[in-house]
Amino acid sequence: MNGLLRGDGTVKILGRKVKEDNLPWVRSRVGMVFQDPDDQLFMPNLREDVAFGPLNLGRSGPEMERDVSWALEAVGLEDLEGKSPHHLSFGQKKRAALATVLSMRPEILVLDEPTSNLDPKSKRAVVSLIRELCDSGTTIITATHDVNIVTLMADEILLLDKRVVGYGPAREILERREVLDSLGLEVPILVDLFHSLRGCCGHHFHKTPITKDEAVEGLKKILG
Amino acid sequence: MSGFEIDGHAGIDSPIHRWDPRAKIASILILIFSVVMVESISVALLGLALSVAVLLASRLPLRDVARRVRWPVIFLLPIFFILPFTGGGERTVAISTVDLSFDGIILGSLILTRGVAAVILAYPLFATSPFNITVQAMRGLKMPDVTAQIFLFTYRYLFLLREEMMSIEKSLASKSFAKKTDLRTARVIGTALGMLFVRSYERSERIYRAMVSRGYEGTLPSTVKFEMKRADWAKSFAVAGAALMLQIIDFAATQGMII
Repeated sequence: MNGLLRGDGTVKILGRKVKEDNLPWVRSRVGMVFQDPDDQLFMPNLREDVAFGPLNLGRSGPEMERDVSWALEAVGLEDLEGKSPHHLSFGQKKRAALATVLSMRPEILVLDEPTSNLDPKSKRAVVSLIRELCDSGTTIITATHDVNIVTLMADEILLLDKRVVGYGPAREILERREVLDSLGLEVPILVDLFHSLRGCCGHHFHKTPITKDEAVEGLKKILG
Repeated sequence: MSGFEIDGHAGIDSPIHRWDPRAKIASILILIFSVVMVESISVALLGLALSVAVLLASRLPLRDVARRVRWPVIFLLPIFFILPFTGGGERTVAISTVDLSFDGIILGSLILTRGVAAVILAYPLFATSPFNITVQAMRGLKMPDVTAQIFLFTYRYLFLLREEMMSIEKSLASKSFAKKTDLRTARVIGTALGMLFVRSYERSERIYRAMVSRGYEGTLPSTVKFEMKRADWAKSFAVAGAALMLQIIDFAATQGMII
């Protein structure tokens, strides 16, 4: 997506084909957060790590300082900016990895399993951060196996199994139970519940609830 | 604090900690070279006293320094014990069936004293600034950028490597593996180290990709700025002056001008 791996076909970013000569431009627009935060945090302390990207983009002085501080605040780690990565907990490292890319203020953010191995509290923090970034206009592409967080943050879903197996609005894809099963993925807990209720209560929903609010409304209907 | 962490006491306030890191590195290195080059045992002892003075000025916890100095000293001790028997020379003392060489004792003591003094100085040199600042200061002293990057990444990933080795050890222990002096143990340890190597290699590729995707093109950007103040110059002249004095006194002592 930002020219790290080579393959067949083409990738277009913001309307421009990714080519060797526009890689610096692509990388300034597309921020990638890797799955293992230890791969992403290579500088001796957090602030230097977060400043790495903006400095490479040629930013300096107050502009760079502002971006770094903003990114650290966005992930809630401003108090730990002088710490070495090995002094951070795994959840903090995950958020720190996100900050190192946020500081470049990318228009597109690519996240690889942003919630893997996180405790529930850290998971919630990461999901709400992703939601906020999304609401503020950043395009976010997330690779995940955790279907229950998908309902909290995805508008569209692309199902992959070496090739594209499905693509469409989140609700439409999450309702395709047999496809999810065949890919070894879980069915989201709410979708699973309402599929079962449909069978036993005879209630018909125009749309299967995929969020908590929709589920509450659905249950109210069933309970009369 | 882990044993790898050399800069764990970088937050202490002392004249050495406040010293401009570039001036500190250059001056203490000059002193180290001066100490290891002296030929006279009495001047070497003076050098050792100077090293201890610099160490005391740095206010580093002595217990911690002693713990770290222990290993290099253990490497030096054999020389100290072997040279008296192999040193030869005319001045010897016969004890039972062996001849103790007076020159050997002096040479052994000289090597041990110089070594201990140099090792002691390494702590005010490296433990009084955060490691990244030390490396940036070395860059400021014209150390090649690639070498600086190797230092920084080695320091950063040493901790991770240790964690991975520990997790491999735990996994071996949980499968009832006990280390013995046999071929099987050697094979298992060899496999574990090989695994660590492969994992590190794969990780280095992922790190490189993470760097490139954040605009890395071969040089490491730095936000650290150094500024020499009057006190920095004064400390540098004092330490470099002491190094020079050691050489002058040593020259005088070896020429027989002073005893």
